[in-house]
Amino acid sequence: MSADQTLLTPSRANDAGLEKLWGHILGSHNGPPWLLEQRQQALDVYRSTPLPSRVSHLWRYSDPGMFLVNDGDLLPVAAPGVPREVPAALKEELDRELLAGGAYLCNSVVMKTALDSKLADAGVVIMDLHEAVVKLPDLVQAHLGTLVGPQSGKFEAFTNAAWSGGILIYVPKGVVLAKPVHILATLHGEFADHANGVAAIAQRLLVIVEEDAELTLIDESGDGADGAGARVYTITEIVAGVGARVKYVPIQHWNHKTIAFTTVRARLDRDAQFETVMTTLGGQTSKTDCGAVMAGRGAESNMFGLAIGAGRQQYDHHTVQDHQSGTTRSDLHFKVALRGRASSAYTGLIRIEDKAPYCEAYQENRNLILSPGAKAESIPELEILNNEVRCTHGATVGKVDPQEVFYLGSRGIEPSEAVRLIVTGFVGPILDRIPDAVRDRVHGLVLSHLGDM
Amino acid sequence: METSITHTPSPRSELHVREDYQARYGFSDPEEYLLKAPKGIRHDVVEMISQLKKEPEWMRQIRHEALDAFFAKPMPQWGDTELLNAIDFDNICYFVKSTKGTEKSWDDVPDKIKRTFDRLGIPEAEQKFLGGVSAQYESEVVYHSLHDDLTKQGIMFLDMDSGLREHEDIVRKYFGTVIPYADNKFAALNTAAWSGGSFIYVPPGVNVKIPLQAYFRINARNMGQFERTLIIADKGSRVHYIEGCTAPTYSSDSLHSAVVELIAMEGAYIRYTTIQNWSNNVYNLVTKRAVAYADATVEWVDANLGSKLTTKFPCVYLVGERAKAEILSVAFAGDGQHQDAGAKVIHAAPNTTSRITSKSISRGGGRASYRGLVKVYPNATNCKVSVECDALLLDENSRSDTYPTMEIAGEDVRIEHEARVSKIAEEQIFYLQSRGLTEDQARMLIVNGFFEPFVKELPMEYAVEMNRLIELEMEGSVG
Amino acid sequence: MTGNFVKAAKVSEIPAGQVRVYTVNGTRIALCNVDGRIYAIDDTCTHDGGPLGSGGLDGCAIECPRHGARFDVCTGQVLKMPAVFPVGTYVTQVEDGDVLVDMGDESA
Repeated sequence: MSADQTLLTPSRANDAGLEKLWGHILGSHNGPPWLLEQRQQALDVYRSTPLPSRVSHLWRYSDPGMFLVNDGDLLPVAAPGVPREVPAALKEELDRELLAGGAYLCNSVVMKTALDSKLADAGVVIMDLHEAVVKLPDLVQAHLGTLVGPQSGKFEAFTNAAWSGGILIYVPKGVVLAKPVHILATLHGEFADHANGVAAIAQRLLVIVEEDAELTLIDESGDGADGAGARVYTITEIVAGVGARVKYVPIQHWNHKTIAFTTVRARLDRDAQFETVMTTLGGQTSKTDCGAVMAGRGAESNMFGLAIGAGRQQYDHHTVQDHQSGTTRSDLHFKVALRGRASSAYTGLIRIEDKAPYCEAYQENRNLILSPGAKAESIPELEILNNEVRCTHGATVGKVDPQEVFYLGSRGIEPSEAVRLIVTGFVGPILDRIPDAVRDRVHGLVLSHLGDM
Repeated sequence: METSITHTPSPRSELHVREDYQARYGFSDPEEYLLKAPKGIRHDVVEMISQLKKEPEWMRQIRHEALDAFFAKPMPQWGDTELLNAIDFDNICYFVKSTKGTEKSWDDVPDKIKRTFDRLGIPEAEQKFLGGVSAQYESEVVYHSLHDDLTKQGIMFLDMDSGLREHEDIVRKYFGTVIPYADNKFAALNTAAWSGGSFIYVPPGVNVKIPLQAYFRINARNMGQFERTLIIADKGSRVHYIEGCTAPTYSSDSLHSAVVELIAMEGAYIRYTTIQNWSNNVYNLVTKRAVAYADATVEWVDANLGSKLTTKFPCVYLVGERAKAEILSVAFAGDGQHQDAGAKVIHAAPNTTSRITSKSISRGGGRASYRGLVKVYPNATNCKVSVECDALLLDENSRSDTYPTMEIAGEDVRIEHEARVSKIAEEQIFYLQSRGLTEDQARMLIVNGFFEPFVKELPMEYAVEMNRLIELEMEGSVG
Repeated sequence: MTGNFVKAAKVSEIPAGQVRVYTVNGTRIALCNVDGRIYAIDDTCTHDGGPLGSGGLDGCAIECPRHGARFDVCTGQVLKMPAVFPVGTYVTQVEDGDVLVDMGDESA
């Protein structure tokens, strides 16, 4: 037991101190020399990048010290007794042929992948990333780390260095997946209060959708109370080719002792269409940065998100609508409901570059506060470097309208049930966009997370 | 909520002032010393300022503590860090006292600015004053009669140096209580080096019927680089203070950093109007903050034109029930300018309300930013907040940023925020042209309409000047 | 003993007139030794989230190193702007040289 102020400075992560960490990384590394070099460079960046300052705007609401990985911390990929069986919900979706394909990971390690054989014949790939760097080196090397590399930030650098498992999804030119692909990542083990250091689990997802191809991807993380106390670092990179259509559906319901750091970037080529439907329900602390870069003319991004916080959960969401090319369009609706002493910070940036005329960008963040101890922060940001734009954003924070509760009461509905109805009505338009295969289950997760109002 | 706000001196920091200072540097002839004063801010410079003003010991101490804080504090890591980091603190003169030998000449004022004065129709004496040239004013007579009238009502309205001399007890009670020097690097610098500014105290129940502005225009001591203003409106009183003027304020100093503290006691009303138009070489880094107690209202009406970089976020702390804040801020960013302006409201009591309206125009490569904060504490039940930001970009090289931060704790609050960024719609111009206006006239009309909500809040003579000034900005004829 | 007392530190780790910061059940708490008595407050300044525990203790007043706000560590009350909202305080007890902090109902 000692004062932990030292955690706030990177001094513990000195040069010699990371040797053991590098040993761990080597232990889970399995691939060609270029990848090892990439990891080494990323670790150097992690080592030399100072801990983000609490006054820099993206870190005002989360303590960066919380995500620091030190020598002696564990990278527990091979915890004993990792369940190899595909969890029941995913198995059922596969058995009922609701999916085009799927994958199951535990502690970042890929346990199982599945893919419709016709799609496999058409050239679609769902593959363990370790396997992909060997079998499809050119494809992986051309894209891995290009959207979220070591320069993206200190903890992105760590993930680039230390990722111990991941998935490659590749959809070749013109191939349309009518059904979604569902990836489920889980944790196993008890990592809380670990005597030897914290458990840091790093994983990544690389998605390449070529010209005119189409993919819906459900990216689910969390499964029951297992894996409590782990810190999970995730990078997702999505490359959408000319005219590609990608729907990305992250569903995060880690247990309430997990700390999660997630970075998602999509790069949209000319006329590509991207839709995100994000659901955040889990984690003690969950910091997510999700962005779309409209790199080609005519690209379009529509982001929808819902986050429900309870107990002492802390959410820190950041979204980016980056218009690098002209005649691009983006929209965003992010809804947050908080009860107990939960807190949420939402920072949403719209940026329109000077060489990107005729863009349209919209953003709306709405927050519903359900108890006196809850706290919501909303920081919608606009950086507009061009005058040929249409751009608006709006944000609201408020409580449930007592008149609505009163009205429902007059219809014989108990106040607590009335609030549940109002909250599900509030996030309903977002839930409706979740693919059929998982919608009812996610709806159930939302309801159980709302608990007794 | 009752919040007790008092100034508690910090632990004494070690002062780097030598005991033999006075003997060594010889204050017998301070003006002569001034001429030789080196650039840069140091404890001996602060000591000199304090000695020259014959200040009480407590103020001298605060200056030195503040200077230590200035040295210790990092530069802001947000905002226009590129421009901020370009400030060379060692190459700035921190205190210049106008003496006969050191007066600036009217010839030094750039022609461009003189032309603007003429076109705004500003009297020559005032032009000279605004150009930083001290002059005698016929209007001093007017000032004195005004002053007598105010004094009869118990209103104190002095420059800050005189305020400290004549009303030390009041100044000591409130100075630095709203903005402690540790608040930020520039507040620390101001506290260490302040000179000039206004001191106003309005007794309970007194309604100051005329805006306190005429005086300001003839008070040369207000033109310091580090103005310090303190306004206290006692219970149930009302006051409207107008700072600055519409004409460009020519300054050869590159750094101006003012601190303005307003205290609105129970039921009091303060409106503080600023129309600031610095010449384009100036960094204008201002900290403005008000405290509003129960049933009090504070209004900041703030226009920012000119300067190289302005950072200014007028703030109201609503610490008493039913207190109100209204912040109306407009900015015009032209070539080479960054107007980093905004507003902050802190709701720390129940039934408090605030409204923020921000309007900005960027033109000719200028950059206008709105940076705002609305914070609601859990005890501030039933509060209402509305924030509206509107930005016009007049050409493709210009830039507009909006960073409105909302930090809301507690469930019983209603906050609405909206921001729009747009250009002048071609169809509007086309329509106005079809009604016989030239394209320039059409643009002017639209821009005037855009700023209308601000201009209508100004006293008439300012409204007229403000409109002319926007016209000049639009022509690009103002530097 | 009622309340949810959690062992946080040894008294000997916190010299008189000094502050030390500990993480107690996930919450950062500043333990302040005022003339031999240990007071516990949230480490987070209510003004802007500054690390209060890194500021200096002056009698029973603590000053936030970020913007100079001051609080009374015994009561949590604000002594100086820019803070206006009291900082959270916790009941402490000393037992066998250990500082125990009452974390209250953490499920809320």
